[in-house]
Amino acid sequence: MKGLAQIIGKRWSSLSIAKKLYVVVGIMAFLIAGELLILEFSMTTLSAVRAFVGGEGLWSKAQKDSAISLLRYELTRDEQDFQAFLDALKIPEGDHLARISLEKPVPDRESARQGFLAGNIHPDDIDPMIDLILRFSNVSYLKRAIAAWTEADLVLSEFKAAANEYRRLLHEPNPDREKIRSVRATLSTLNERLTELETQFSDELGAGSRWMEGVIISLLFLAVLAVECIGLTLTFLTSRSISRRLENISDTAKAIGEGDFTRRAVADSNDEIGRVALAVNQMGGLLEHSYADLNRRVEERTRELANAVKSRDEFLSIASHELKTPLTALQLQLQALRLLISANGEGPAVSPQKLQGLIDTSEKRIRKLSELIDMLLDISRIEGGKLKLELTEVNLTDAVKDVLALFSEQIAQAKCVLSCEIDENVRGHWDRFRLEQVITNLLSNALKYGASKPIEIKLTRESGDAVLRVRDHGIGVRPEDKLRIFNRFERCASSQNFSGLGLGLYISKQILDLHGGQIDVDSGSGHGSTFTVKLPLREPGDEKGASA
Amino acid sequence: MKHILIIDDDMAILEALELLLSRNHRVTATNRASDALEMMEKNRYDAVLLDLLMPIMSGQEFLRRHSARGDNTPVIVMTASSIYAPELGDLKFTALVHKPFQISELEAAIMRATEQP
Repeated sequence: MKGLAQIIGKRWSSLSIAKKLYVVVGIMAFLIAGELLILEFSMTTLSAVRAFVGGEGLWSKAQKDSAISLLRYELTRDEQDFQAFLDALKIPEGDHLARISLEKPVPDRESARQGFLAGNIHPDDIDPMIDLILRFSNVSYLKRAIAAWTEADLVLSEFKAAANEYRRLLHEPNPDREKIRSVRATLSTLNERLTELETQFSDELGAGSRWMEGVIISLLFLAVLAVECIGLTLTFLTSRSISRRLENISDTAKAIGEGDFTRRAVADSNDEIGRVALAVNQMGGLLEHSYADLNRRVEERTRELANAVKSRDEFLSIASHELKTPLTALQLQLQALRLLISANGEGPAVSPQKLQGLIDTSEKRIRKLSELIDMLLDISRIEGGKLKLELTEVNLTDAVKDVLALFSEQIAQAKCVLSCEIDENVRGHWDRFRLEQVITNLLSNALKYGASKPIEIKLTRESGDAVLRVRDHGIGVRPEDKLRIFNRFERCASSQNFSGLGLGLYISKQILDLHGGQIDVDSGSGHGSTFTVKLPLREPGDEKGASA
Repeated sequence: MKHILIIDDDMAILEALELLLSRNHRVTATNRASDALEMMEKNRYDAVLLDLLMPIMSGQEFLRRHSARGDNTPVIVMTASSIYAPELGDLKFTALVHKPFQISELEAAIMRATEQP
C-alpha cells in the first residue's frame, strides 16, 4: 500500500503542471458525469412512479367503467353493454398479464410490454415501469403496492366471475330473485373491496414516491457535496504545492541575490517548477563556485601584494644599510684625515704612507658606493625592461683574467687559495661589461660565503657553449633554496652574518637570459657550492657557429 | 685613559676608529668577534664597540655569549640599520649608535658608558 502510494507520488511529481491540472479537471468532470447519471436515474425512476400512478388511474377508471356497464346491462339487458363491461376489464387484465410476466423466475419483458400496452400505458413509459418493478419490487412501499395489486387482480377475477354468473342468472327463464340479489350483493362487496385496494395501491405508491424523492435528494446532495469536496481538496492541494514550491524558489533566489550562495531550492519533481528549481540551484552553484574562486584569487593577490610590499620594504632597509656602511667608513676616514692635518706638527708625526693609505681606502669605499648605485640602476632597468646588451666580439678568457686581477688583493686578504683552469681564447659575441659583472658577482660571492677555503675557477668549451664554473667550499646552498637565490631580493644566508643587497645573482641571471645562456648552482648545505654559467658560443641566428 | 675594544669586519672603519679614538683612549681593534671574546678573557676593557653584521660570528651572537659569561663590560652597538632592525630582541647592550655617526657622538657614548657604576 505504501509502495503504491510512493509509485503514485513519483508519477505525480514527474507530471508537468498542465497535465496535473488536466488530471484535476478530469477527476472533477468524472464526478460530475457520475452526478448526472444519478440524476438521470432518479428522473427515470420518478417518471416510472408517475407512470404507475397514471396506470393505476386507468386501471381504476376501467374497473369503475366495467361496474357502470354492468349496471347498465342490468337495466337494458343489452348484450352490447355486457360487451362494454368485458372490454373495460381488458385494461386491468393487461396490467395483470404484465405483472405475472415480470414475477416469473425469468422475467418476460416482451410479454409484460404487451400487457402494459393492453393496459393503455403510453409506450414510452413502459420500459421505465418494467425497470422500476424489477429493481424495486423488494422495497417495502412497492412490495405492499404490488401486494395490493395482486389482491386486486384476484378480487377482479372474482368480480368478473360474479358478473358472468349474474348475466347467466338474468338470462334464465325463471330467474331466482334470491340468487340474483345475492350475486348483486357479492358484486357490490367486491366493488367496494376493489375501491379499497385501489386506494391502498395509490397510497403506497404515493408514500414510495415521497420516500424515493427523499432518497434521491439525499443522493444528489451527497454527490454534489462529494464533487465539491474532492474538487476543492484537489485544487487546494495542487495550488498549495505549486505556490509553496514557487515560494521556495523565490526565497532561494532572493537569498542567493543577497549573497547566501550556499542556499538551494527543493528540486524533487520533474515538472516545470522542478526544472526552474534545478536551474536556480545550478545558478547558485555557479555563483558559489565563482565567488569562492574570486575570493581565493583576491586573497592570493592580496598576499602577493603584501609580500611584494614587504620585500620592497626589506629591500629599502637593506639598501640603506648597505649604503650607510661605506658612508660610515668614508666619514670616519675623512674625520681622521682632518685630525691628522690639523694636528700636523703638534701630535705624533704622520707618515705620508699613512695618509696615502687612508685616501686609497676612501677611494675604494667610493667605488663600492658607486657599484651599489649601479646595481640599483640595473634593477630599475631590468624592472622597466630597459636592460640592453652591447654585443661585441669578446674574449672571455681575458675578461675572467681581468676580474681575477682586480680581486687579487681581496683574495690575499681573505687568505684564500685560488686555483684556475682557464682555456685560452674562449671567444663569443657577448656584452663584455655585463659578463664581467657576472664574473665579479660569482667571485665576490665565493669569497664572501667561501669561509676562506680554496676556490676553483674553470673556463672551458663544452658542446657549443662557453662554460664557467666557480666552486667554493663554504656554507653552500640548501636544496630548497636553489631556485630562490636567483630571485630578486633573496639571500639564503643569515642576514646577521652577511651583508649585501641580495641582487647579484638576480642581475646575473637576467644578464645570462639576455645572452641566451643559463646559470645553475650545484650544492649541498655545508659542502660548498659550484655555480655554472653557460654561454652559447654561436651568435643567436648564426647557424655556422662562432668559430667559423 | 680608558681601554676600548673595537670589533668591526670593515677594515676601513676599524682603521679610522683606531686612529680617531687613540687620541684619548687606549685602543685595541679586531675584525673577528670570536677573537674578541678570547681577548676579553685575558684582558680587561672599559668598553666594547660592536658592529652587528659580521661573517662567522655576528654581533648578536657575541652579545649572547658576552652576557652568558656574566661579563659586565659595557657594549656600545654600532648599526647601520634604521627601519630594518636586525633582531636584537632582548639582548643586553649599553648603548646604540646609528651609522653614519660623528666621532663626537661616539666619544659621548663611550663617556656615558664608562661613567656608569
